[in-house]
Amino acid sequence: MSRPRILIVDDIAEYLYALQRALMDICDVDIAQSLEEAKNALSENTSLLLVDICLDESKPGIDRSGIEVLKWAKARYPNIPVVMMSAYRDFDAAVECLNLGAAKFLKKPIDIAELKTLVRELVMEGYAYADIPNNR
Amino acid sequence: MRKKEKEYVVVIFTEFHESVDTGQSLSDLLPDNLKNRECFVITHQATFAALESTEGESAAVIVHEEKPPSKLVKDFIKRKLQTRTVLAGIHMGTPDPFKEAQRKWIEQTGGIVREYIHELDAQRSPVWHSFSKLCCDVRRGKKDQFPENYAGLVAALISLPTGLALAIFRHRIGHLFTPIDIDLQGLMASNFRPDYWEKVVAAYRGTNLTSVIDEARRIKEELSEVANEQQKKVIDEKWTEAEAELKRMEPLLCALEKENLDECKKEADNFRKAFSEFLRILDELDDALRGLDSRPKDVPTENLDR
Repeated sequence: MSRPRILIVDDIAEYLYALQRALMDICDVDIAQSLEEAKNALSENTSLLLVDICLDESKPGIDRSGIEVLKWAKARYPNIPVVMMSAYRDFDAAVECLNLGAAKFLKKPIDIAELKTLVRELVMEGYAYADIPNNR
Repeated sequence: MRKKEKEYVVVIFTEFHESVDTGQSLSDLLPDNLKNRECFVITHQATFAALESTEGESAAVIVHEEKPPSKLVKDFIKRKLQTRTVLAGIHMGTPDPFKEAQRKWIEQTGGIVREYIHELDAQRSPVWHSFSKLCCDVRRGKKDQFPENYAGLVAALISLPTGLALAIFRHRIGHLFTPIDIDLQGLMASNFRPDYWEKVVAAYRGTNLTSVIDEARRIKEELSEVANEQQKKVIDEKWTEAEAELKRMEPLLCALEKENLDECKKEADNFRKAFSEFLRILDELDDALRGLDSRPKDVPTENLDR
């Protein structure tokens, strides 16, 4: 199995770089800071997509562009698992994301051990999330 | 001392403006404690666009129509409201026209309009609840309720900046430390592997890491400035606990700033525990504030109950 390739989408550069460093031992990490960058970076070579719901730091708690990334990705690459994350305790957003096909909703701050386990489950061990419809 | 703000309430009633008394005279309908606010009720997009004397800190554009913004309105928003908090409510009965109108307003105002509301979701905040009530009563010809509903809408809009500040402070403060926390988790998991350590120190080289603590305090002060007395008391109480955790986090930040590996190893676990406790305290503060009256400190509570 080739080395997995993850695309992380978050508008905060420092956060992206820290996640990139933390995951480098198990996978290659691409990063994007907006919907447009995500569209350009996502490809059939992407093994997993990790997206923050808010992609505009000037509108925290209001902007939900990350959900647009999820919709776009699911429309074009339905087999790529998508994990959403948010710093807000937004139950409605979590339900919406899961209904739109997200595999998991993570609350920030991210626990790196938990994230690595998730990557292994969704990607590295060939876990096909889409084949298990009741596991949401 | 909090800077005095002016708020603008712009209500556009294109469908039924004939049924209400419109124009600036509506400020007479407000209770005394709201009369010093500059409020406008505009009935046509053209009238709105002609409005020149908007020197406020925030603005609300409340739309009750399916039409996209006119060119005059678009120009006005871009010219006058670029740095303000702008909300647009679209209040209508069926989802499809709402979605279409929402899309047009978002696209055509250059993305500066922050929020849209469908009337079915109107209960989720006092602003949209008041707006929905106002629209429904006007539609039904209940003119006698108009002054009360209008005052409710103005009061809710005035509370909005405070509500927003209260809603996002936890995120703003927590975010200051999360990249460092992630790097620390990775370093600890790798047992401070040299190549990982080098990447981390290179990322923070030349930055004043300990200044994030001052930044956290500054955000807390900002929050206190917009809070009313009741909220301020809760903030001060909880911040005493938060300060203790910030002090426990500081040695790690100093060590990372000085690229001192041994000190980082020594302080890493302490930082992670303190950061976790710090976030728990912020969550408790967040919960406590949500349970309190969210009106800003300079709006008296009389006559505002809706």
